[in-house]
Amino acid sequence: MKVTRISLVAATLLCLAAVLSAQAGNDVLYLQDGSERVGQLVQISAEQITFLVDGEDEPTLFPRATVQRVELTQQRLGDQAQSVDQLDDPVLKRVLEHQPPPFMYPDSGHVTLYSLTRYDLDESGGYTVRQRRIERVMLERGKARATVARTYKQGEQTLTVDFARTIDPDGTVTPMSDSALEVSSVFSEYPAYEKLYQAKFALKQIRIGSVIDYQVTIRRDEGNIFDVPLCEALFREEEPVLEAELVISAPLGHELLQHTSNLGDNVTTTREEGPQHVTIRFTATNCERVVREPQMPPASEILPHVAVSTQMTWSDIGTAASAALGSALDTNDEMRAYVAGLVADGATATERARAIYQDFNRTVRYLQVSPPLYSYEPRPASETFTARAGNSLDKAALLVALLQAADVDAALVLVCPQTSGVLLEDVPNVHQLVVAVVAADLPDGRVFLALNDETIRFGQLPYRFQNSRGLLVTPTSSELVDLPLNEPAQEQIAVRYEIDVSSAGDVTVKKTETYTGNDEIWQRNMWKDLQDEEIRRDLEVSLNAMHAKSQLDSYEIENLHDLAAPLRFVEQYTLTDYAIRGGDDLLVFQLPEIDYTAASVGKPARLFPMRWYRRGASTKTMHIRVPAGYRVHYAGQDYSASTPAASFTATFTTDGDVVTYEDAFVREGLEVMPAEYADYKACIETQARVAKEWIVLERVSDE
Amino acid sequence: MFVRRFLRSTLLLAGLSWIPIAAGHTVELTDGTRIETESVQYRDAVLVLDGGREVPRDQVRKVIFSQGVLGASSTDELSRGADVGELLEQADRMRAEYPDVGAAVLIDDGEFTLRPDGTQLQRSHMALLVLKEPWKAAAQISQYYEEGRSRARLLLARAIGPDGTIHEFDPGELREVKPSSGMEFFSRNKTLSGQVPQVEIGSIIETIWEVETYNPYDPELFYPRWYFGSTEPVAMSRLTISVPEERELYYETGNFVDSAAAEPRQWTEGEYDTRVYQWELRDIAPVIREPGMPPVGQVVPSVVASLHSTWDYLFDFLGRFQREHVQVTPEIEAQVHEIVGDLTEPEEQLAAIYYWLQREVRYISIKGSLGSGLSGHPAALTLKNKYGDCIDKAILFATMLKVVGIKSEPIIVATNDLPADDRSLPTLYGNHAFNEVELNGRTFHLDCTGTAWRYPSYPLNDHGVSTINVLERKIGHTETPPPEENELLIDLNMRLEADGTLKVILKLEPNGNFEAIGRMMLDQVNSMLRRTVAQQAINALCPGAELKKLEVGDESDLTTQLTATLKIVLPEYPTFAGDLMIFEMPLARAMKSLAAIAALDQRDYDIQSPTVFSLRQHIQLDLPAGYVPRGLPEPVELSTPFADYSANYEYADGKVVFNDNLELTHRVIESREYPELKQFVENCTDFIKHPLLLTKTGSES
Repeated sequence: MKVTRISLVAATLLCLAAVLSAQAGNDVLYLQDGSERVGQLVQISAEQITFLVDGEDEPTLFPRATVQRVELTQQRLGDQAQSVDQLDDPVLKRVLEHQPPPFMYPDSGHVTLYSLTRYDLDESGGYTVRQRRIERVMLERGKARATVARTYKQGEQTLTVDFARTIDPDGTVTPMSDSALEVSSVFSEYPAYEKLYQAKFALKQIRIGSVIDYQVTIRRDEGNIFDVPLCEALFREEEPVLEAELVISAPLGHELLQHTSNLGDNVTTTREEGPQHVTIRFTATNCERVVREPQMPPASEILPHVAVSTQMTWSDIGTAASAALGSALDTNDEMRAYVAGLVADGATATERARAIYQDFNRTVRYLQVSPPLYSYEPRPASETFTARAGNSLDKAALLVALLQAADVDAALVLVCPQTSGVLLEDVPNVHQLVVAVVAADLPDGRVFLALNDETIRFGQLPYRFQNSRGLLVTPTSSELVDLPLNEPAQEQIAVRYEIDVSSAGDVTVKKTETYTGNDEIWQRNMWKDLQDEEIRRDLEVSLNAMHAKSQLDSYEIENLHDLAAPLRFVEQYTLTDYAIRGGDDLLVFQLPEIDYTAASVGKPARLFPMRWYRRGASTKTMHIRVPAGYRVHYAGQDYSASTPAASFTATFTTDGDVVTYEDAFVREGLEVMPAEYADYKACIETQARVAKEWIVLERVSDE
Repeated sequence: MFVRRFLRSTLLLAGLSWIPIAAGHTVELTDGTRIETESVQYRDAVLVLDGGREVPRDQVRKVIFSQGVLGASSTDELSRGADVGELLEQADRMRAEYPDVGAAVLIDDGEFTLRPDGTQLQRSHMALLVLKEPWKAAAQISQYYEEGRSRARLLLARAIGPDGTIHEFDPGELREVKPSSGMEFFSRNKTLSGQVPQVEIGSIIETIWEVETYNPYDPELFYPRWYFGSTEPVAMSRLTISVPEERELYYETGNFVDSAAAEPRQWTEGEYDTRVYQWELRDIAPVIREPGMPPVGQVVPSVVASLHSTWDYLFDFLGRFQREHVQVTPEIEAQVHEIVGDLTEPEEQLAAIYYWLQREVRYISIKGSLGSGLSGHPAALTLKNKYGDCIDKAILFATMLKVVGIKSEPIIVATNDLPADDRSLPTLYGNHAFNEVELNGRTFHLDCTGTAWRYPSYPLNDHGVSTINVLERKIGHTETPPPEENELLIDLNMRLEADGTLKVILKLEPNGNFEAIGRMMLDQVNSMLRRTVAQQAINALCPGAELKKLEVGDESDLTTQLTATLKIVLPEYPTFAGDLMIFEMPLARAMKSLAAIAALDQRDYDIQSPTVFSLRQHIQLDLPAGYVPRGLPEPVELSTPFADYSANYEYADGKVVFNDNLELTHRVIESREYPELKQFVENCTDFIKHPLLLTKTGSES
């Protein structure tokens, strides 16, 4: 490639220009031959490009034909500063001056020195959100904090990285460059829902002891009731936070509703009224880290949490949602023909709803784009039907339209799933409602219909939607409703085994499994897309993990693709040499497939409650036939444990040459408080002890 | 990771009109707005466009300069696609033959064309019969292209219903997007994306895409690669490669059962006297996956092609970038001297630099062009940024070693989880880079990409792969370290009380990848969480387990072997079965589960492990007074060409001592060796599964 060094005079002038322009030297010149130059763009003329390559004293002239493109790095606030002393930033200076010594946090990946999230709400429904973080890297894992991603809705919001820099322990400041900034679409694979974008950037010169300092601003100029932000903060994170602020400023006259929970003495709240704005400020100091525990409840329920929104009512939101739904409920001939093809003449409302639902999820594919990440205004049902695909909101509007076409009362329900925490009813804001289902009002009661999976049978409700609150919306009304929690019997897995043991120690097993509720959904999902041979191999792998000399003799999955009938699994297998010889007279073995574990209750005590999202039951029954010439020497002891949250019983009985093992585990409650944990732990450990039991058979004759 | 430079026709397939090549220059603003302009000048931090329009620098993201319109456009006529009747017949036939597959590929037709002017055209025609839910995702169509280099065009996209109804994709719905990548990846590629409507079970999704590389980096970089078949059955798969007649095309085929089919049809055609090579296979059965099998691309028929028969051109092409990037600067020199300090032994210096690069240069991958894609950034820039990806780190490592006089070059590989390539044909195939080092007469490999490898170990996916050493102009391979260099040593010192309480001191001494994985896990969790994880693990061994002590070495100190010691109390550990005490060795269940690898009755494919390993246990069990073992299993010595296992029990003075050693000695176990493996596994587990049966002294009957 032909490049030219320019004359001393020209170079001097250009360098001067470059200095005057005061741009950081992080522009990148991409050449036709695939090579790159980092430095500073000085000039583009008709014939050539003048570029000061990093590390060189003189600019280089590149013929334009040799350059494919140039990417410019933006000048951000404070980018000129080379050391922290040159930054005019009182917050940063204060924070740096009061940094705690590293030995105070020997076990933390990073420490947040300062965090600010500030919402400035406009009269027009627009707002500005400014987020600043100042963090110190303490250990290797803390370096990951130097890559930052923030999302925004392109076309509705703008995102600006105001500044992002690394401050070395010696005070050197290194700004980010735009070559390490990527703006990309989060849902590029779903073009119809492609609105959420992510700006991601990586900071330079990160090492243990570095301080990361960045600020991102998201701006929305105007919005409707669906765009009102829910201003939230959790004042505890997985690593310590020394100072955190949530600030909400609204024009005078805009009442702010707030919900706070679990706030300790380290959080202060102030409210200030200025001439034009009211400002609420929550300030937390010295927030200790959260150490994760298994089965923790949603963070908003157990950690210091604040949520603020401008005043509105669920009725206001419902009215807007009704209008949006109403304008989406169109039907066309194709949709009517689809409904007619599924609904038999004379069918009851329940039969019509069932027939439509059990085909609908297979016909219209679910696209996992949560409404708040795209829109709360469903697209016309006919569009979704044509696409044969939609997110939960669009699928819900379509299903409502189809059910209505079949003369079934149906409504859209915007749900706050229990897995996201409880609905904060005192802070009405649609952004708490992150997924949509449908409610069908039938003569025998209301049925909620989930849209995220084609293996859900009519009447089954995925666990995340159970025990939840939602906003039920029709074109003319709305109300907050409860989504039910299933009884344990509606969430059950039952297994029966018929087992024969031979005198050679071989064991043959016939196993029959039946399911209800989420267990049935999971099992269908596990198998539905596999070929027979793939299922067979998976089963063989499972058997061999239990016992190397295993043989899958046969298996059958009944009603796998028929949602009108229950799923049933029958498997027969042989475990050669399963029982172990103990001397000449004993055969010993453990119960096959009894692999209960107490891993989930390994901790001796808990800081936080344990939480589950469904009740449930599982039962196992085994009939084990002893070979001729043997008697039962030992057949396990009985076990029993009961707590308000869960209970377990297991019995071994011997009747002649048959050992019967029966167990039942029932989860009645969804929560175990720390004070109740010891009992719960004992219950689970009781169950796990069964997995350590052995059956001992003793030879009594040569037969 | 650098960019894989081959195009495979898959379901990612582009507009009924080309994304236009700007006749002039393109200016992209920070808000995403794009301005086409004939004139572009820049001075005093202001961009001046057509009509004197001025745009301040701080509003400009990039300027893409026009290269003029290169290359001849393909036909402007849209394709009508395949005959619908024939497609439906094919669909019926495939459905009948493969009733439970998720999808069937009816047409998989790829064309790669090198034009006389050096531009390239790739066309991909796909027809897919959707038979199960996940395959509806094939309705989401997209095609990558590189702005300023290539453009994509969708010639046809439609869904054909089971009844023959045709639903055309609306080209107005094609979107030009920049897809997200992982947190560490910063790329510039864009896609054209859309969604074919009305796709249901039984639908056929048919698409035809073209990608024209109108501004190639180098016309010689033309490397078609094609796989015939996959985990779905294929009715017809065809590869057509066209090059100017005066150019030689070199190709290699793999896994063709019918040697005649491996030979392409050849003819000359068209206005440019194009030489055409074509391979076609029909009715390809699906690959049914087997545990531990090689990557699918390694077992299905394949073709790879190149314009060169030797590596010289690529060595020259890549060497130019690499030499430019491997340049010692004063800053690099100073950094190296700081790292090695007073160390004088070259191996110590090497290890010190190896550790520093792993821990102090953060993994961030920034790819803006072929140069950074294949040969990273200059060493000085990576050092300045203290971030980079595999090739950036490899470049910097080689440069730093230069400072201390140790010879090292970056090498390019395809890791062993990708289809293997013996490099007999020069291509740019690869996904990773690390270093070849020569020291004390020995050549070996080190990989600075991660953060956890103690010298001289390096990641398991680098083992046993072919290497491209551009600077040395040689093709080679990496070694697989012996099992003892990838070993987990487990030492259990246990005392059993008469009431069943088992007191255990467990020491773990890993090396190689075991050690690195341990470090990586420890790097990610704090001490409280480590304790929680340990408590969960031991409570899985025995309910009610109590963790008395957990001591773990310093995971950040790569100079010292990582070890862990746990003191555990397991209440009621054995099972009291009448007068018997049944004692299962604590890790027996985990060891038994290894048998899953030999689950199938028979195999079609080899078992390919990323590397070899050794698992060694030494257990000493002090029995309670009055108890003795009721017979002990006989010692075993099992040896095969690919794995060995030895184990024995000894009893004396109230102590049972157990030793075993499982070694996988070869990465690949051929399918013909599978019966021997199965027997080996069964014999191993027969031994492992035996619990100790303990009886009180004198009570034996």
